[in-house]
Amino acid sequence: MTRFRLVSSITAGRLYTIGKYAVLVFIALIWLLPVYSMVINSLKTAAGVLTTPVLQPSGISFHALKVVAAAMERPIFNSFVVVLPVAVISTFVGGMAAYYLYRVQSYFNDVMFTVVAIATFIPYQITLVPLTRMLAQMGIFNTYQGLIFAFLIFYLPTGALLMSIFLAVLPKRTIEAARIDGAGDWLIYRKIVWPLVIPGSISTFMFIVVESWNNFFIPLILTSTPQMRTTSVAVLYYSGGFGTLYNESFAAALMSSILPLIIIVVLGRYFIKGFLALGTGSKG
Amino acid sequence: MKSRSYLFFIPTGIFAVILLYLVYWNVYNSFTNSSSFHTTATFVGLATYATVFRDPVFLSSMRISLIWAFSLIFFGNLIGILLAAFLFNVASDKIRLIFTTIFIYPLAISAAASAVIWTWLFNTNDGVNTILRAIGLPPYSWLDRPSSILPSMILISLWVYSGLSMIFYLASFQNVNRESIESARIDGASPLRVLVRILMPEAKNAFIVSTALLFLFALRIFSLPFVSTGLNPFTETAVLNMYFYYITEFFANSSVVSVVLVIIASIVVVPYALYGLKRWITHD
Repeated sequence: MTRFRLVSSITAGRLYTIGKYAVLVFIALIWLLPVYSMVINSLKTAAGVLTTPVLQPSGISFHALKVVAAAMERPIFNSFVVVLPVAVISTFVGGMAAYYLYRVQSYFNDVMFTVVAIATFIPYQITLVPLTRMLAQMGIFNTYQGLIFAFLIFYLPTGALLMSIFLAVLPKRTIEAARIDGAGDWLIYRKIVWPLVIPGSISTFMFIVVESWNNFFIPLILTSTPQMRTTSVAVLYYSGGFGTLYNESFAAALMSSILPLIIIVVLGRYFIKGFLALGTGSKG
Repeated sequence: MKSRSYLFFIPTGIFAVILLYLVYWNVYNSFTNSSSFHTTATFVGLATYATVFRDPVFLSSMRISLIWAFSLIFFGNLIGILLAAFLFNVASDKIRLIFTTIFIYPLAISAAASAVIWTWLFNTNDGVNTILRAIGLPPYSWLDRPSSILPSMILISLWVYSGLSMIFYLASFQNVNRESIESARIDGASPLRVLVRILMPEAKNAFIVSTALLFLFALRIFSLPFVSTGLNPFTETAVLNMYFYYITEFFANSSVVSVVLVIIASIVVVPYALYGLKRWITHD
């Protein structure tokens, strides 16, 4: 009797395990459909596009990728020119602000912290008109400086917020000890704080690289010539419509996503930690 | 020494103040009749508000934005809990990380690229309908019928954001005392019972955070409907962010919409910053 029950509970457990993985794999496959379709369809020829549906592969041709690459070269270059300084400044200078908020606590700082949070989460589309005007008045509309400046308005506070969360777990005593030894803020920040917060700063950096790389609205409104378009905006011109061959749409989508996809595969843990920090603090 | 730490905050402070200025510009202009046609704006009190609030296009955009936000919150949390519960029961850390990466990667891809991909996947003849037909199900008019466009778009946004909800639930499940779960299992509690009775009561924070973030991300949605269905105030996917893209000639009206959006976002962000984020940063 007991033996029978044991056996049946083992089979039930095994069935449950199999069922659990079956459901997980099924959902994962749905989640991966866009990646799958990006790969197979950007490798299709024009003839393949006309004869096969979107989810069925047909041959391997690099023609569409080459054509799109030629057109996307400049936008991808533009994206790097804008995204890298934005991410470096947001992480390092945002980290400095975080260090200040960590060191000194006052009501004024609570207010500043709230402003930083608002800047991080605000629907940035609301700044459309005043931001465009401001950049036009400064003479940096449709320039790299303009895009970097505009991105920093939103991502520098994001960097400060994320770095604040990662800094919170640093031992206050270590820093006080250095201070008693006569070290200045700059020295403490570079030599003590920064080395301790490296994993957090990688998360912050990756988070801002991905977010600003993908930002569509800001470059859309702040650039006016094809020469200045960033990658995410360039994809718009492959969005389809009648007469478009979809292999080029998918090739463009693939090219704009390849960097974020590499980051998430290689450094996914850091990227996830960035999001997690926003919701649960640095211990989560 | 201590008094000079504020220098560290100045760069971030400057950009935060610029953001406040952009918001202030909107607040100020919302009380005027400023537009491309009134070059010298006059103060009109709440008249512009009255105009905007009576505009049927504003009201329909507002309705669409709210439907979108609440659907994303409801189903995003639901899918997040489901995925987290499955992943929590995966024994191997490595396999769990692989699945986590699969469910989170849509967050790393630009919304513009996702829109291009899903527009093709939801194509009536070529897309996922070919699978539905193959397994004997009737094809669905994803983007071809006015009444199905918004649900389809919401599905795409669920694909993007459910993973975010998932990581918060997973993190909170992993904080639950292992022993209480084990003892419940030994007592013969089913996985569902463990989820409802033991895991979910501990996931209150995950629920708050994931709801707040899903709401804030929903308020930012722009590229998905913009790239996928274009800029038409009369479509079923014309969200608030698009509304003030096509009334930008009327600066005052667009400012009113901005103010409304800032107020809605602040209702969530300010308490979130002061009671959530602040707490993780100050406790040590």
